Amino acid sequence: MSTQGDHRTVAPDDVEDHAAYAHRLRDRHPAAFDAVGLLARLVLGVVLVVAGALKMGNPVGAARAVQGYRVMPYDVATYVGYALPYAEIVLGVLLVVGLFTRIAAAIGGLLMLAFIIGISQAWARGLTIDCGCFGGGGQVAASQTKYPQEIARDVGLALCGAWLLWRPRSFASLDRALFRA
Amino acid sequence: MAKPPAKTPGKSPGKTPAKTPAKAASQPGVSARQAKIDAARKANKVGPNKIMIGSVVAVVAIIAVVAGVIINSQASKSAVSQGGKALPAGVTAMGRGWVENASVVKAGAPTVSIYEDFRCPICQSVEQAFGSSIQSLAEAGKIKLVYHFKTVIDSHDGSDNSQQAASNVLCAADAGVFWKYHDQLYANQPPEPGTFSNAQFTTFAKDSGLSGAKLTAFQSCATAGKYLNYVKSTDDASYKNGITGTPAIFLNGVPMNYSSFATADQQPDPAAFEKAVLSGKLTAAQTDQTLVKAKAKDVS
Repeated sequence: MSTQGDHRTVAPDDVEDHAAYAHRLRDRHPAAFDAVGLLARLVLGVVLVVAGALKMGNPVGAARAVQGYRVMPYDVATYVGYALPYAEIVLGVLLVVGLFTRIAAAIGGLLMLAFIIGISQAWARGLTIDCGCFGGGGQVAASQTKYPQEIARDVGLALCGAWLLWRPRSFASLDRALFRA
Repeated sequence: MAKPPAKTPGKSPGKTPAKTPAKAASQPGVSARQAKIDAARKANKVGPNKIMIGSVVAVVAIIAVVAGVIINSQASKSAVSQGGKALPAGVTAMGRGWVENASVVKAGAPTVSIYEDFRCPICQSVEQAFGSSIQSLAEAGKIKLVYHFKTVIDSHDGSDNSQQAASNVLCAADAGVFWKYHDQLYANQPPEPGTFSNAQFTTFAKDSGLSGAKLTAFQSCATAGKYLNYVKSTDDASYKNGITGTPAIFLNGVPMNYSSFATADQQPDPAAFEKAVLSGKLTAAQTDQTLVKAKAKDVS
């Protein structure tokens, strides 16, 4: 129904507010952007599921990995270590299937931000730990630390979260199937 | 295609339900009813309810994480509660070190505290370098030798094999063959990632010279995991005091840089090690600077 007459009724740029402009930008190339969204979902989601699964069955190790950062009190760190694998799997599964993408991505991204801060402070304080991101963790020899690689990887994952926070729409998501998002 | 003259709001064309003026004019009653039905349909949107699904997902997620915490804390508890809660001879409380040579130690002898894990490769290297020095000084009572068993490798692989090995060496100590069992654990240390088998634990006891009633007593001690809780307690206590890795050796509470006791060609120098230990003092170069903040306060 796009006729000349319709076209003239579209609001001119000077009254279009900032939010509407951002909205238009976000939806300029829906197919390409939806594909990026799918990729971001799968990368962050699969990494979270794998990271959680590898920590299963070793509660002491998971607790030690968190204790190794020496940020939280010993007992708090123990319970955070117990909870983390399950939280990662729940978030990861939500992202992989694309259900409540925006909130799952926001929490996943914040988790990555927390990891980046944790690893950075360990590096700055001269601790020699493995990040324990995929099981393992705790004290390692100084030559075995991989802080720059670990931070770079988590920054990449945080960016996946940030993209989905900005534009949660993507291909092949339950959000779309159920709520036509 | 005729454009309807209706005053459709410009931004959402075509979204309004079919409400052609022709129909409205000919059948006003039906149209009003239809509009109501449409309105009702719009209100309880056909299809899944986002708030309901969201609540269900949130509840399931919270239950999963809480259940996970409970499962994990039960699992890590049962790993030790299956075992006994016995304290080794002379130890007054959980978390304290065990004095290996309490019966022979001479007054004023320097205290050597060793934090070790029988599956840790560097512990094995240190044992090969200085183990016989430590043993002879301890047997002569020239040092007070305190062991703190740790389970660092267990936290890497999720097993309780280091914990078992340490509990079993205390069972061997009960039978009077601590050193023989200790040496066999290191001589037969499984390469990472590997574990001692139960058959090996028994063989070590036999090869330490145990037989008959003594072997039976060792076996039941090992099977019951008599000291598993104690070993867990020394690992936790030392971790809280900043001794997170193994091996660690403290001389009168000062962390030792054991690799400083080396000859010019980088071979271990037991003579220099013994000399420093007997003096009871470490120079700055002989001190492990990374551990100076660690508290060896659980030295008994």
